[in-house]
Amino acid sequence: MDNLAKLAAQGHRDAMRRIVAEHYASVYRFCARRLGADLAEDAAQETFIMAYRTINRYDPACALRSWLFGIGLNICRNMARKQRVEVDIDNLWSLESASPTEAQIVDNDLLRDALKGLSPDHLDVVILHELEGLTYEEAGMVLGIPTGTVKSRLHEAFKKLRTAMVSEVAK
Amino acid sequence: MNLRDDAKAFVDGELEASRLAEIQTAMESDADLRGDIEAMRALGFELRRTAVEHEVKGAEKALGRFGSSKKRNFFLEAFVCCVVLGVVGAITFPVFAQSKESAKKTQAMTEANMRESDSQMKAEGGESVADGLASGRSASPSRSESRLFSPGEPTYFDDTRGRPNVLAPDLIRTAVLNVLVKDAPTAMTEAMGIAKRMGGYHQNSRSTKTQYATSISEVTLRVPVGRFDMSLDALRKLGEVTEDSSDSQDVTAEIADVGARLKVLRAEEESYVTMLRAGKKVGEILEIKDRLSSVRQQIESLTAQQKALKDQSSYSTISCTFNERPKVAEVKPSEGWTDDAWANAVNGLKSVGRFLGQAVIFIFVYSPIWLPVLIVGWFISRRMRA
Repeated sequence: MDNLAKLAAQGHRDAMRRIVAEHYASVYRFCARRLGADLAEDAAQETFIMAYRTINRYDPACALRSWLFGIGLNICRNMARKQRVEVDIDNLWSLESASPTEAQIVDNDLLRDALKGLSPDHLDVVILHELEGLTYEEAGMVLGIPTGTVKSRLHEAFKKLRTAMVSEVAK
Repeated sequence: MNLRDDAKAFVDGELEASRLAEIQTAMESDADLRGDIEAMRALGFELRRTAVEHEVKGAEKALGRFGSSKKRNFFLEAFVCCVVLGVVGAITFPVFAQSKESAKKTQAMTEANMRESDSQMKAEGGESVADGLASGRSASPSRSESRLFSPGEPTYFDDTRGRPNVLAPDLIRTAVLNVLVKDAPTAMTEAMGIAKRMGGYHQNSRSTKTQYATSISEVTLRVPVGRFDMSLDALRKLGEVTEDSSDSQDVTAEIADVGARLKVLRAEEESYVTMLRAGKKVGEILEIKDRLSSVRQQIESLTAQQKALKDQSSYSTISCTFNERPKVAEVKPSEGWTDDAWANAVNGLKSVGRFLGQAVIFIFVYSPIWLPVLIVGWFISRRMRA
């Protein structure tokens, strides 16, 4: 993958095509989760155009996917601000219907309400780690924060989710 | 630091070995910590399980934005072009007449060389690769060709440079060819030979006889994608082409997407296995097992899909149908005018006989109509005479 990035940095469009082919689906899904399906395509396209323009600045120490997610995150934030779109839990998780078997582990309705109560910072780390499957280090690179901060935010997010769900049950 | 603060990192396997051991030891005696860890695990599991999988759109458009050429600096390229044109013009214009003369000489020398090498090849009993392929005989390929067609090894080469093209898009190429030939089964055998020499194989074949005593042979050939055009050219030379169509589908994004999905599913499978090992409640274990089997099914299905896509993109499919030219009945030359006259007379007599026979049958069949009229007429004429 580093070779592809190097070739792309030298101006080889074929290498960039390979990068797009490899990562488009994950970048698209990442954008769709943040902005919804209507804006995701534009955001994903914009991400790769921006990546091509700035590939000279790519650091091979960072995984290419994380680097693309970092660009995608900035683009999604800008688009969300311009279009006045907020992160919608329904674009992230399908928690409407809970069969009795699923409810044995976690009640989906409770989880949905608890997720709505998370701050954007907490939601960011949850999305990157749980949905996109990034490690703490990779998530830190995407968000531009230290690994330790990712760890503590994730722990806090899960603690909040649990507390919110327990207090809801107690009511 | 409180051990509970590291519960999530413990579940995610993001802890150092010493801290991990510390928590594992503490878990044995601390039921609350165990509860915390179980809750984190269940919550993470549920978040991953219920994640929305958006249908990916616009991959083709994104790929289309990066055409297969180098990044261009327009002004620099325009400047370089102007300079090169200027220099070439300045050099070539004054000596144009001389160049023309020398070009003629070079051309004559090249032609002489070609003639010489051609006669040398004929003397050695060889023939060009393309001719050999078209005629169905085994051509004597050059050293580079024989290296390309190493037996039993699929060849995937860039047409223009003959070296692996790692950045080429994955294409599924298909073609349909209908060819009019003298002898369909022979043409089919030749087509199979072409596929074999191209490093491919024939997938299936069929020969049938029509009611007009001509044969139709159908064969499906699989040839390496890099040799697709060359194979088509060779097949076209087998007869008169009546239908020729080809199609290609870019599956680069699809293959990459399937690969990425597989990666994610394998990671998910791994995490389920870890959870299964740590699971204690029967209900939970059964639930995890259920999901693990579903993930494994998806992995198997995607692996098969990936394999099929790779196979289709590395070997192109050519469907050939060979139709025989309709056979015209042979006319024997006549031996003389007497024979012709005899044959014509006999045929004429047969026709007259046939006509008379038909007339008798008609008269007999219509007798209920004409016979009473005839009898009444005869009776009246007899009375009148009397």
